[in-house]
Amino acid sequence: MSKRKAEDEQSDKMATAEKVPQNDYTIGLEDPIKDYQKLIETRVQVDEIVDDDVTKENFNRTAASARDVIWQLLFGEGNTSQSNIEKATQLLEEYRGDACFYSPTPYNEWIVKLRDEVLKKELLDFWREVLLKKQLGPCWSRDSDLYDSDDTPPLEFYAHAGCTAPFAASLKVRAVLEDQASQDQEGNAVPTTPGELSADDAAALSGEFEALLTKERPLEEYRSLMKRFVLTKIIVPDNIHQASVKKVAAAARDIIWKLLFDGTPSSENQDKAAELLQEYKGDAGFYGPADYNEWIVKLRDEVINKELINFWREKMVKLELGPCCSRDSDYFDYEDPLPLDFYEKAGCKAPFEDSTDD
Amino acid sequence: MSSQRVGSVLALGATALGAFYLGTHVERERRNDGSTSSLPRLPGLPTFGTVSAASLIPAQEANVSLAATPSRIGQIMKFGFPGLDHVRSHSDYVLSYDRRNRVPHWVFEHLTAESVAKNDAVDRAKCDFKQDESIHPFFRSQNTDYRRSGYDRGHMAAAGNHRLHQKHCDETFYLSNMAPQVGQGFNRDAWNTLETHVRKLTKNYSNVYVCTGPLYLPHKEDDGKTYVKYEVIGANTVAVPTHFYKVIVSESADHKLHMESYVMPNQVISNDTPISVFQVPPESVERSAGLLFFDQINRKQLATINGKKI
Repeated sequence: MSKRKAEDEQSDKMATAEKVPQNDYTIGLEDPIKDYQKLIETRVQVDEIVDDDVTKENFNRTAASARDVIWQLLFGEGNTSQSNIEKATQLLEEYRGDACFYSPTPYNEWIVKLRDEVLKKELLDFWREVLLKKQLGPCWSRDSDLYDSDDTPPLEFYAHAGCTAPFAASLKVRAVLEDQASQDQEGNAVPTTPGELSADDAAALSGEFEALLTKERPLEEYRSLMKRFVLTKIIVPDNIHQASVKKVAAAARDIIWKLLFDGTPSSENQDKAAELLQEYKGDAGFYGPADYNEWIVKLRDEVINKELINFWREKMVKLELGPCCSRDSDYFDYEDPLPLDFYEKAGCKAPFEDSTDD
Repeated sequence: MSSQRVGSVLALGATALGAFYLGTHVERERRNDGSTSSLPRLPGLPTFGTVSAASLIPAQEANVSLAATPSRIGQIMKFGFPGLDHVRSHSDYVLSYDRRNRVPHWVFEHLTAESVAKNDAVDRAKCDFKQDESIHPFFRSQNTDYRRSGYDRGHMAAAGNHRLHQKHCDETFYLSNMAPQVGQGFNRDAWNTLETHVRKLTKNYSNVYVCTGPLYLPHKEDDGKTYVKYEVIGANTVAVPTHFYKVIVSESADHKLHMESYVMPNQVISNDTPISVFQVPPESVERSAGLLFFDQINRKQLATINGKKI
């Protein structure tokens, strides 16, 4: 508490320690807008944390000074020159912009008096061209966040000397629209269909689906199974999800074995087996590589046994289809040994270097 | 230290912190209006027992409470806290403050026909937007952040919902209850229409509970990736939310519960757009906000959601 207070006091000092004497809120007639802006910049729009009561008081005093000067410029003795009217217009616009943010009520009360005096003095050009055209009447929801559409718009203010508010027409249109909208609302009970599960999502959720791959298009079929029953957008319990992954993986292993070992494999079937093996290895590296790493050793031994040396060299070694490791799976890191010896068969070597330093 | 012990220390710490902040808040109020008569020191977060939906809620006192009393907080929060981050209790609404974004996570209000009725003793024109000194200066938004930013100081807990006492209304003008909102076409129009709609619900329902807050929703860009992007304004980098939500539960005289849920983009919305366009399933708001609304209610217990029977 005391610390916070000390900070406040400090920032009070910073806010008011400016070149202009502290209690002077004079706005000169020479360049009123510049004087006004300087007061706002130094006393009101301060980036340091200042007590809101101080800021408010500073704005109120600046505003009072602005109102005085505008009144003088417009109604002062003798000199209602064009340049004075321009100065008053500028300052009025600027002050009103700030009033809309900081404190609209005093503005809204005073501007009525100003209007009455303008009409009484028959400054009709100023009334029409400035107050009316620039909409400098009371602040309202059109220009201030202190108001909303429940507040009465200041239509009446502008209904003088044969004029109407420039925004009167748009308010009428709006009233009609709101009326319609509220009627729509009454009879509105548009039924939205609840998100029903598709057949695939239902199967993914229960884990009950058949996973069978054929020798014709095993890779496409594998991808389709994964997409339909594994890569779903719905939330599936972990155990069911894992079982589904295992089921598709088993189907992949099964068809790869058949492609390679049902008799002598054609080079086309060897290509198909390698494609699928590569895809399956990628997924295994993500979903859990244990089964793959165990099975791939058996596949290698059978490949060597069946003397499919081409498949061994060109596919398994070259495409790095041995056990998953830190090179391809986030299940491992650099402390795990690389499966170098897996590849050391039939005169081959691993397609990568041992990365461990020691 | 075991994790259980850490947990209990944290929980204690949170309650103590809430109590400290409310303590300082009450202290400040006391200094400000000089009414030292009978303001009790109260914890900021009621103990969880007092906000359980099962506990007895005392009937509305005849005299309006000017402090954040446990009984009032219990009424407002009857159906559960969406989250527990930096909870502030005011005399007639409860707020969770997002210190990183300098706007609320959520505010919770409980409305009755009486609390939203026109009251000559309450004048909104007397309210000033003011910084919330109970928020640490690092995380406090200020008027200077909003001035000429192109955005309104948009109420989350609306001033028009708190008309039992001037102080209730005043407290909605703390800048901690604001988020930058597009002015014309949103805050002062479409969003206001939604606020009015919520107030109108009190004509048909004895109690209306509403949770309001900001969203920062992702969108897909040309590279096919999804990003969350939002402006920050002023020296305090106050976040400009992309959307706002309201999740509402209305309790009818026969104790049936009706839920409505809206998400509106923080942009100019045409006046001829009916608010029903912005109705969304409550779960989708929960997922986006990272909060659970009315989690003491089983959704199957609701009579309707967005006007549709369950």
